[in-house]
Amino acid sequence: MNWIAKLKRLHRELLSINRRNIEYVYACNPRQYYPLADDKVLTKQWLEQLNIPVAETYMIVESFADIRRAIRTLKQQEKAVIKPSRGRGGGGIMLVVNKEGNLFSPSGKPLTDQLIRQHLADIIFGNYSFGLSDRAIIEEFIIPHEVFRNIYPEGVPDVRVIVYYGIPVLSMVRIPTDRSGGKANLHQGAMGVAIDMSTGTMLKGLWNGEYVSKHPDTEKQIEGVKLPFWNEVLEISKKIGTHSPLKYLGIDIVLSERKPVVMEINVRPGLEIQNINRKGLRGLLRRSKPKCDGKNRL
Amino acid sequence: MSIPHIVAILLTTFTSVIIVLKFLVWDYRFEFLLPEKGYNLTVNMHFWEGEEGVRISTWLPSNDVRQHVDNISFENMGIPIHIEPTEYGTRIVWEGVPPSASGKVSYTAVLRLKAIRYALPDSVPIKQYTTPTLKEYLNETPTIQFNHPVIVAIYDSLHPKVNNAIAHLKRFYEYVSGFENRPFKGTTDAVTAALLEEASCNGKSRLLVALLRRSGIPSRLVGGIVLTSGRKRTAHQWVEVFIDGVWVPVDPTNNHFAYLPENYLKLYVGDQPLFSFKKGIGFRYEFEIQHITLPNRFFAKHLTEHPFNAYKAWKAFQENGIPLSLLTIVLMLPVGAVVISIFRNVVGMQTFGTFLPALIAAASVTTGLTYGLIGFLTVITLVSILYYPLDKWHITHNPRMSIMMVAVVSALLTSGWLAQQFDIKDITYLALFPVAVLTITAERMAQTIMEDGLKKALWVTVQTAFVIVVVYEIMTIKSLQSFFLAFPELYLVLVAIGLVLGRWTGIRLFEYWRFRHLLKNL
Repeated sequence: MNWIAKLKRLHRELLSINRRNIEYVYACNPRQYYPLADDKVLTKQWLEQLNIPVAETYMIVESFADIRRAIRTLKQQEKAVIKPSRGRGGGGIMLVVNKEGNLFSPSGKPLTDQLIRQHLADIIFGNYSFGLSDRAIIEEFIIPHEVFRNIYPEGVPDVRVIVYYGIPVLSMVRIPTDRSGGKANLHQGAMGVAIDMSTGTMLKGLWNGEYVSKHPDTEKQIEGVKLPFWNEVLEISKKIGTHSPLKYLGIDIVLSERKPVVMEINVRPGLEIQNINRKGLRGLLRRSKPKCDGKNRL
Repeated sequence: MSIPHIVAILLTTFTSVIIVLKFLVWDYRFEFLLPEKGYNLTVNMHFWEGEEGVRISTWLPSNDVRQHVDNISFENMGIPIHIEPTEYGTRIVWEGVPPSASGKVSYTAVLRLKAIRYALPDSVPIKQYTTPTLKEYLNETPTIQFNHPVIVAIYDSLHPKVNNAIAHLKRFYEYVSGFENRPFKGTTDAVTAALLEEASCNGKSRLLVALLRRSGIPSRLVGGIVLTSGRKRTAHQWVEVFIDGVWVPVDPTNNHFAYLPENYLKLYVGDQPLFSFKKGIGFRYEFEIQHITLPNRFFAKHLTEHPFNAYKAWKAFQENGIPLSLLTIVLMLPVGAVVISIFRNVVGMQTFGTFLPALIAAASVTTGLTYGLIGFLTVITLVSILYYPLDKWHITHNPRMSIMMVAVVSALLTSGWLAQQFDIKDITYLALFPVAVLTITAERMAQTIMEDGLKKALWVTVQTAFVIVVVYEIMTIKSLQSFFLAFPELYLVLVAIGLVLGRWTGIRLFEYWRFRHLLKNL
């Protein structure tokens, strides 16, 4: 194939950032419904109504008056996560492990009441959500499925599914690495792994600009490993996509030992998934459903 | 075609119609709107061994049909100057005892020059001139020896036997301009030039004057400088011939006949030196020449007299002491913003903030681009360092921003103080930097460092700096500024560009690189 033909094909298949914004985000996702995705408290409430599994909420910390009770709540649980409701990019997330009434981070660093109070205050003040005031969620600490713990013992990998009008279009797994410091964030050095949509089998992963079959730190095989609960993942994605007034979504799902749990919904899902799968979203979207009309209603 | 595209086309059409109307109906003229080319000339005169006083004199440029002096300034070292208009040109003399034995006096002139061509008739009879001023230009002098046998012999063999000054001039000009040009130092008289058949500008000019005077045609040497960008020490001499009541320029050295190019600066007439100085002192001169762009002299008048332009609006600002230069740069901000959106949405570059590069570029108009960039980089680096302790101590967003703003203002004050300590006046202008924008940028820079790493933050900084430079170069184009002042309806075109750009779904240039793997694998 010559270069001109290749470029033409790229234009037909690749979803560029301009086109994503204009033809998908603006056209498919009415702005008044953004809070459904941007505010995790609202997301969870809505998903619970749809009977979609989410991490169990222990408490929502709305104000400083709740902080004392929040610490009590934390001490009643074996493990918990504190996160800002409107945070972004995984900022402000604190993992708490309870050992006989004393709280620690998973790495064993003691978390004093003072530290937790400070962190909750930071969240409420909006330090992790663009200076807006916010609320903190204290929720279940999801332990990833054995399949993932075998590949890399730390952090929580997740599955991202791009859903367009209820159709799962493209998907990837994000696996933490030493470089990403246990975070499943591609910007910070996590590994992105392509998925065979029909079988839920992991394909090659993209890390440090190279397509690899094994985890870069543990050397464990990734390519060819089948994801657990793949049918449930697809069912959940379809259900959210069908019921949501937001028609172009990135759904983040963590696979726990027992079931898939939806962690987050994204109205502006990133485009790196195309590099990871070596597939163009534009072509996939075009072939799955006609263009948005921008008149979605709940 | 979508509504935004239709609106964009309508806006552009409307603007074009207005501009066409302005030229056809309201009599706007390009020649009064576009900036003019000009020169900045500095003549440096160094002296030494001047303990007992110096006396240096030279000629200042003056106005005539083809040259206009906008401004002239002097550096005198406290030596008294004396300026005197004479029939040969404007003479300036520095005379007195300088504060130190060696030093420099200089003048700097801002000049607008035009090329000029004279249409000569085919035939002009040679007359008898009796006015004393003209008779002077028919005289024999020690260096223009037209009665010398060498000159006489050449004259006899060359001169056309008709009573036509033009024919004489053409014949002599062809002969002298055929000589080889030689960079002789010092004075070459007419006879020497004739014997060698080669000479520098003054030798060739003297020979031409000698032959013309022998024919009875008044002619004289002219001294000046051929303005070419850079530093040089070479002055130039050419000839003026009195034809039909007009002094017509002729340069046998660079072969210009009845024509002077745009870069010829005339300083004086007559066979005299450009510089003279008191015997006993050391003396050396040097010219520094820069091409510059000057506002059109008729711009303000033209716009005041014609309807529908932004200059009229400025009048209101002017009463409150806002200079036109400031208003102009504010008017150019939207242009800068459009350029930035092209860089971001079409090229795919990342910058700190959408308007920041335009604002820094605007602020750099007073500081100069170098100081503007250095100031921008220093301030945001210093202040983003401050972000770390603030973040570590969990200082919440609003108070954090206020503390960082204090740091930005302090940095700008410090730059003013440093400017005074080290006598760099330009950096005082850093105080004009948009404080709020710098604060927000510093915060964003710090966040980028924390979230995406130092490498990424540096990369965005490099891109921001690049965009600042490009935006600065575009915003300071004088003709573009004049256009927006004269045709403010061009803003509608900016809106049109924004509408088209905002609906553009194409692939950003940088995305071809980002998704290069897809190119291979699709």
